[in-house]
Amino acid sequence: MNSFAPPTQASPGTGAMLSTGGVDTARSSSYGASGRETGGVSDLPPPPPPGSAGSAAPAGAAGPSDRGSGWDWDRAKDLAETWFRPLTAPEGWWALGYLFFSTLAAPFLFAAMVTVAALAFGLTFILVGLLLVVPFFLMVEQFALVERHFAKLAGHRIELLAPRRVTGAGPRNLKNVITDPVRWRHVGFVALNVVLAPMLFGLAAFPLSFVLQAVFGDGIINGPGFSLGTGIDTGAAGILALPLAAFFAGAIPRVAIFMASLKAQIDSWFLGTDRLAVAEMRVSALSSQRNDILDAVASERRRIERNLHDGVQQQLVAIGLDLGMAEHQIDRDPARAKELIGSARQKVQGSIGELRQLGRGLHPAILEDRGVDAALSAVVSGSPIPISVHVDPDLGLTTDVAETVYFIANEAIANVLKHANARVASVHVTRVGPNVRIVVHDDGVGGVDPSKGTGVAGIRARVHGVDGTLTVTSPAGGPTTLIAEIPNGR
Amino acid sequence: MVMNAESPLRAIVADDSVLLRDGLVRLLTDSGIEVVSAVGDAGALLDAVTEHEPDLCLVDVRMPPTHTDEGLRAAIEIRQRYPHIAVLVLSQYVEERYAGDLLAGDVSGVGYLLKDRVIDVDDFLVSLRRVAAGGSAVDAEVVSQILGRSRRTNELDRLTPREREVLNLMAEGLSNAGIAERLVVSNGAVEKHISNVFTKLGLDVEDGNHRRVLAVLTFLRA
Repeated sequence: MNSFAPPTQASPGTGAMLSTGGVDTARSSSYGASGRETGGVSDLPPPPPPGSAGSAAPAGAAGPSDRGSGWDWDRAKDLAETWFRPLTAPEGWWALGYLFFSTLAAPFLFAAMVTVAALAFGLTFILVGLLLVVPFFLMVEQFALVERHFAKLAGHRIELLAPRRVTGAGPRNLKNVITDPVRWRHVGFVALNVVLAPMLFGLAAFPLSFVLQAVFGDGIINGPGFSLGTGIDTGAAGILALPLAAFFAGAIPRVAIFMASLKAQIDSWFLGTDRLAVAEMRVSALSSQRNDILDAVASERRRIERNLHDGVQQQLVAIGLDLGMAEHQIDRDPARAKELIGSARQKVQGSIGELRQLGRGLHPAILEDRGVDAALSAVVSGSPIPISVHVDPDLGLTTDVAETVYFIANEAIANVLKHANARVASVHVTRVGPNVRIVVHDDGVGGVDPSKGTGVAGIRARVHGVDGTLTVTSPAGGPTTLIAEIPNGR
Repeated sequence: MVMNAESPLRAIVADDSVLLRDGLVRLLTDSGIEVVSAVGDAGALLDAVTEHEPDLCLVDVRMPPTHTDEGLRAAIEIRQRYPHIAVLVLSQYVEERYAGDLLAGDVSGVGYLLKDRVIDVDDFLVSLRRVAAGGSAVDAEVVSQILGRSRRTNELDRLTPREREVLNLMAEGLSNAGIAERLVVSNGAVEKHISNVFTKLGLDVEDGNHRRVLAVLTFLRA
């Protein structure tokens, strides 16, 4: 019901080592919801400081024991294990794979996109190109989907923001796709990815390349040459390279995971659900709800004003008139005066009844004293047709919710009595999960059009005002069932 | 109750509240006015006027179907079509704009009163007969509302409280004698106050009840 999930706080995956601040929290809740299959990384302690401990650990693991004399051997071993453990976990490698495939695919996708775009543009002059516009955007959408699959490898889920649907290549669809910002974002993404993917892959692969070079030497990468891989210690550079390589080895999965999540984040900025757009939709929904509520309030006030002016006030004037005439005639025609006073008394009784009714419509005192069950029972007790009321005894409603429930049921009952021509009706108020469900059923003539009629409109405004849902089923010939579900407490 | 020696006044009552309509019919009948028709909405009122051509219509502002001001609009239409038929409009609440619409033209035979004035049976009947006789009646509440909102209150400030009171009563449509009676002063004193009021407001001193109301209202609306 509530489509606006609050952002879940930092997902466990990245942990302390890869704490990326804003990037992490900005990732959408889908991440926390889907969860990551791996938990190992999150247990990591902070990375070893770059000083002595950092170099000590790899040394302890890689070097022979005679180098470790005088050091805390157990502690070094622990550190080393912690530092190298992610190497054996799959997610680092998946992250690297994600970046690798993305890098591999990006130029092809980009080339395909540019080719089709150029073709479409070139052919536009003979109008044929226009026919390519819609397929072009559909193709680019598929490219975006490809990227989404890659991201899945690394455990990143990108909630795609759906572009407007197209059903053909006609002018309307043409306009539809060209004016759809989501589709242009797809295009932008495919273009950007050509640069982004290799760049991030390069950064992610740097520790790996360093280690490979250190181990296998110039044969793989021609660096400045601190070869160790030949098995021969080649001097100062080699001695330095050894701990550095060890350090970078541990860094491989960490950097890869970091770069992968950075990439996934950028991906979802381009392709994913725009949280700003979601918020904007929510805001516009809320403001239309607010307008509904204001309308409902205004029409309720009009109704109350009319009831006061046309009902009670008129009666009071009529009573006054009776009494005035009685006063006028009491000396000359006492019998007539008595008659007038009697008529005035009757009208007073009528007015009291009307005021009571009016007050009950505004806020029934019994609702607060005895709850929804009693209040609704009081409503139906005056009904000309039998209406049964069933209210769950342990709803635990707050005053606000109870009032809303009462209003909805009361209004629905009034509608039934006014329009349905029913023989029998029922009201059920039950708890359904976190919601309260109000079901008003009647066997009347049906044919209620929820979009018309002030009664249903009032109920709808009230229901939507509390983020609830309303369904009305009312085939012509009946029966009519109105189901309102509202959250119990907010 | 003083009965008219000549043929009794013939009236139509238009009010959608059955209780009040019956009460008004009884009141008018008891005081010797013949009620030729009692209706519940503006359309029926216009039909009845065409059919009966009464001397007087007693009209509620708010009637079906819209419950806004159809009674008032019907009253204005009656005034235009049958200038000789007096119209007394009853309103549930003070609405200066309604009164303004109604009193914009010739105010002879026009009245605008709050509905609850009927409770004061004698006063109401006096106003009613005044309107039927071609005079006018404007509710004191309406008058004070107009006075309160007048843009020329500065000039009104120059009036003494007593002169203001007299102006109010004039605006309601009372004659000099009526004002004198209400204020419990002599006719001469009232005339003096009135001439002071007219002088201070720069109006021509001229006798005649409804002309004065017109003058006062025109001045106040300006």
